[in-house]
Amino acid sequence: MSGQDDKAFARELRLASRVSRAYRQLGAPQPPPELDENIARHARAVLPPARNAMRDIGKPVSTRPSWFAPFTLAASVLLSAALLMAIAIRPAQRGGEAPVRLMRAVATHEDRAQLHYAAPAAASSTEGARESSPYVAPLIPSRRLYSTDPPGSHRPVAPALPPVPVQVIRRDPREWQAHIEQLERDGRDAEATAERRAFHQVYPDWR
Amino acid sequence: MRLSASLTFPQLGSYPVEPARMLHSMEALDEDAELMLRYQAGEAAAFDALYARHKGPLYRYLLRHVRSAATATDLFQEVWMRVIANRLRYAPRAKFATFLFHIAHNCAVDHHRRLRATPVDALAEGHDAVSAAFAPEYERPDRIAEYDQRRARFERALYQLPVEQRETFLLHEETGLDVAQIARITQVGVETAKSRLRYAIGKLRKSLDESTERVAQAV
Repeated sequence: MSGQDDKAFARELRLASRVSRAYRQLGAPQPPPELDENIARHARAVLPPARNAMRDIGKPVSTRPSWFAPFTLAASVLLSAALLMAIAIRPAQRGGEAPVRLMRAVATHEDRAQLHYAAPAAASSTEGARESSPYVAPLIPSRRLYSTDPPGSHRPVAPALPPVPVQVIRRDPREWQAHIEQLERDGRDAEATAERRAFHQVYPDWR
Repeated sequence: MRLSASLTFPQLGSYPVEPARMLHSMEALDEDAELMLRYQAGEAAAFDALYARHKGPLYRYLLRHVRSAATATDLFQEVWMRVIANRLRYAPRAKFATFLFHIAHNCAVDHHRRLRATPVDALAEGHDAVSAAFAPEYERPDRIAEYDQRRARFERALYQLPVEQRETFLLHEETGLDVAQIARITQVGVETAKSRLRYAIGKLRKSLDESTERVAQAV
């Protein structure tokens, strides 16, 4: 129904070409020239004066201040430089401390358990200068995990430490077992497991 | 439920756009919309081109719609001022002509409202001014040829059309927009716009037929 109506309407419009021709014969009056000038002047007056119109065609109008771009660039450069310094220069200046810390962090729990019961008894006699230092022997062989030095110029980050004689103080196994059982009773299972593992390393034959 | 969107311009009112039509219009961005966007970006020459394209049809639409040269000039200026003022809010979601003539329609509606609120004496005065400024060709003594008489009759028939029918016919002739777009400009349904155009064309064709008969009888 609607399609038929549209067709009929289109036919009517075609027949109306005589009406359109008559309408065209009425002439084509134009607005007064002074009105054209007024409108054109107003259209130009509202545009921002400093912009290069041809260059900015199609670009969105920016509301940022003129100093924004250089400021952003300078801030980016500064941040990048600071980040690079933090990564590359700082570990070298601090010597081997950072790798040692890292190695401490990756040390296994068993190692820590052994250390817990290994007192640096001879440290005071051999390393007087290091008495107050909490430093203990590296848990894994000292090697740098990353290097900023050029190839072939490798130098040790930390001074090689003399081996520290360690006197292992063995804890009473029964007392230790009782402690582990107490931990289990208290529900501190993780600690109990760690203690038990350390116990078996110190007393592998204990049943 | 029928989905619809609308563009809202300050002082222009709501400008209804159906989603499907909006999408179609966005796909085929007309040259006028490009010019308007370039003007929006600061290119004054783009406005000159846009103005040159539309000033004639817009002026004739207003002139023959409000039937007063002085009023048409005022409204013409007002329409372009609104286009300039709203340039940054313009988004090419429909043909530029639809946007422009929608503003013109609103200006004309405001004018007709003001006319209705004007005292009768002032109205009569206004119509005298209309006659003086836009005198029909047939009233001039040096134009007595049949061609001119026929044209004058057609002009009279055009001005005797109801305002809505005349506006629809003028939009159809001056803009080349289809009935759906005319319906959006005049904010009526498509069927209403179609009906108005059909009646307008029918009456104008009848006036042309009468002119032809008179000429035949005279011969």
